[in-house]
Amino acid sequence: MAFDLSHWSELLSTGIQSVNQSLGTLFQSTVDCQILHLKEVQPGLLEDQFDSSDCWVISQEFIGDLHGEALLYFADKDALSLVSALYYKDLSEPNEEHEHSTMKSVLAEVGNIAINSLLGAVCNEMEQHITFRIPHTDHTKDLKLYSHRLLRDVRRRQLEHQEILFFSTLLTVKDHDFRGTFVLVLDQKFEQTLQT
Amino acid sequence: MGKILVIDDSILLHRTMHSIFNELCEVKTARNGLEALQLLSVEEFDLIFCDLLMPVLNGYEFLERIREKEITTPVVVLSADIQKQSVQKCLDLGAASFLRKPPNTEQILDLYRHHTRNKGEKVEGKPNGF
Repeated sequence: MAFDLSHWSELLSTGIQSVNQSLGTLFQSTVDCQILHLKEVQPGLLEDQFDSSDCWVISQEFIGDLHGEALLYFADKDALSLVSALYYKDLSEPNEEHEHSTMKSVLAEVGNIAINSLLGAVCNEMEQHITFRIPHTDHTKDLKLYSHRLLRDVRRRQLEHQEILFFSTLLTVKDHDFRGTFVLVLDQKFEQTLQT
Repeated sequence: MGKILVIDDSILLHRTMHSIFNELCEVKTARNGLEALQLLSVEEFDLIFCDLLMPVLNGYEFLERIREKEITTPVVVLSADIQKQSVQKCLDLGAASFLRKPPNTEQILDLYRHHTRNKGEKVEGKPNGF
């Protein structure tokens, strides 16, 4: 069973408007999400969707009528700019343990707000409900390797033989020198739920 | 001076709430529902702001526990989870209000004024927010 991409495009547009509203309030600025990809991928090809780059990744799993994982990731310098902008603190040397922990906490909150806004709006539109897991923030030296973890999670959910909806957007905030990428990996189980 | 309790595992929200209330009232923070229950066993608050998604004891569990303990302090749920069912569940569990994260300063202060009005609290001026 294939995903109805045009239906998902409409749903995710609603979700993006919700993200723009939430992050606009957070940053007191205009936020823009530009859709980069909306496609089906085989789980085994998930790695090809990511670059080899250093970045901070906020990930949040969700279960319920919809199963999957959402990611929001920022290149190192962008993550530093973002946290400095929100936390009013110069984090140019994030080597100290407490600064690393500040980065993790602030980024987790930003990710939680963005991911919940997007999926909450989608679920409300579809009259479905999901439960969010606590978000995790990691610093990775190679985002491509991070896809292996995603794949492990897909396998854990025993859905490795199904296709995955892969959605990514580029997120920019006016008057701020950073941008991030939003990725949603959705198991096909949800599509089946919608069509029953 | 009034006193509010902010329950959230985010240092960003802690800082934001300290900034909003500045000198209007005392702000105490807890990182999860269990820490909050410990504080509530020894202190009284005029208003509680509570997140939903937290480790150890989440917001729903916290609402259940304070209802069992017959604690009547009003609780404003402050969460990014905007799903209709989530909002309704909070209200069913006794939350006084639900605010979408991130809140703006005016929303927060309006709720503070509303819930402390009958206690003779006087809220003046508008502190710096986000």
